[in-house]
Amino acid sequence: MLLGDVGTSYTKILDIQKKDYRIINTLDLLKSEIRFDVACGHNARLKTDRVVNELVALEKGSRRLIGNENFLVVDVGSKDIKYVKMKDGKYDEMDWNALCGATLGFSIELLENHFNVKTSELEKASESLGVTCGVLGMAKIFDKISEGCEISDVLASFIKGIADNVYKFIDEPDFFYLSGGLCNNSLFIKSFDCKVKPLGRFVPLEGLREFESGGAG
Amino acid sequence: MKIGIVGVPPQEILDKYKRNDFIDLDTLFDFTDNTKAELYLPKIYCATIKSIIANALTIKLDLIIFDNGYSKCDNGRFVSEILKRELNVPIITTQNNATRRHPQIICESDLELRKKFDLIVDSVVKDVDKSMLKYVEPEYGFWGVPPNDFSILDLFPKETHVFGWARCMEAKVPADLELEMTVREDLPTVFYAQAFCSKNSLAKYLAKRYNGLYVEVDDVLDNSVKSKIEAYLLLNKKGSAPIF
Repeated sequence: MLLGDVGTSYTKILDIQKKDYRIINTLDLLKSEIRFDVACGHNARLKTDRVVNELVALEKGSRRLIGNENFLVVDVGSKDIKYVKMKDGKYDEMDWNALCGATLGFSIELLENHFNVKTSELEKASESLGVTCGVLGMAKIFDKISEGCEISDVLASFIKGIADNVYKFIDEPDFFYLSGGLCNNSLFIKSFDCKVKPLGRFVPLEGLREFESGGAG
Repeated sequence: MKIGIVGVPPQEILDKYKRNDFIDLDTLFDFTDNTKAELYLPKIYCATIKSIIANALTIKLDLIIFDNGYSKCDNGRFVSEILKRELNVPIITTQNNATRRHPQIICESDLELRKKFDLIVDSVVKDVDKSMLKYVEPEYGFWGVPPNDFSILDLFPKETHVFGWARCMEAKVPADLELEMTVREDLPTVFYAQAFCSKNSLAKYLAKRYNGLYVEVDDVLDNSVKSKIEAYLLLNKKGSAPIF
């Protein structure tokens, strides 16, 4: 059985029989013959007849991985940020920002490619760049560089700005779980003013396991 | 006469023109081209107000009755003034201060949510038969104005009650802020506002206060907002979450 989390930039795939997890570029997926038994994500409808809402998949996957009925999990993807908070196994709070404050993952990747820098290897910044969203943040970066600021410092403060944005969006908790591609970015994680535990990139896929047999878990 | 209506004009004015053909200018019809409104309005503006201007410019009208006071909104007040100056159609502006709340049977009925809104909008200008409507025990609430894009209403089951200004429409008290801000605290509610509308302040405030979901939509519903609402409804659903 093939499960897919078909994101804007990357698709995460789980072949249950082979116990194989992999990640491919979504553009490559769309050109391929691959179809999923169950899928979630922005482009899921193009690759399956059985679509699960990605926030629901995130919640179910988090519950499986965390093993606790009280949690706040935040997913920062290429295009959007979403979070869900569960209390005693019941829905407590959620939000999903695809406009202002979004395109964060995408912006970071764009900047890394442009400047040939791995942001995860940079030192944490003490000051934030004051980022409204990825797009407007990039404009500020180029302004700072033209003023003579060091590229590494500016990028680190951009990452701090993104972290601050996410932190405000989730109402400044003491602790949260992180899902998504930025789990691999240690600078992003260090830039938060609270404790963060990364869960990795496959959380929604774990959630899709609940729908394996055609049921809803 | 073909009479364009904006908002919820006072009943005594509507009764005066009862035997005429009313058309709701707030509606996004198939033929409504909101870009026409950019003749007078900025591109970034409330889509419902843009529809009013676009419809006023497109439909051959004999009269417009425009409720433009605080029973509508300030955007409406400014736009009615623009139309008075630019359109060769007589415009009657009104302020509906009615306080007697009519029963809100449609809002709590077992009709599909889209049908509820169709009937609420109809009820502004004509008597609608509510005798066959049955009360439904709600699972969700929808708070707000009639959306510019009605497809958002198709996301909800019929077990959804209507709150906010749409409820004030059925109650025929469009200036009743108390009723507009009344919700059921125990009901998972989506608080909807048209983008660039001042009612966003109410929507966001009430969503935070009652642990609801705040959404704003500009022109048409996009996939992100659709997914967000679906997630909220599923996570608050009693029982298992289905696959779409």
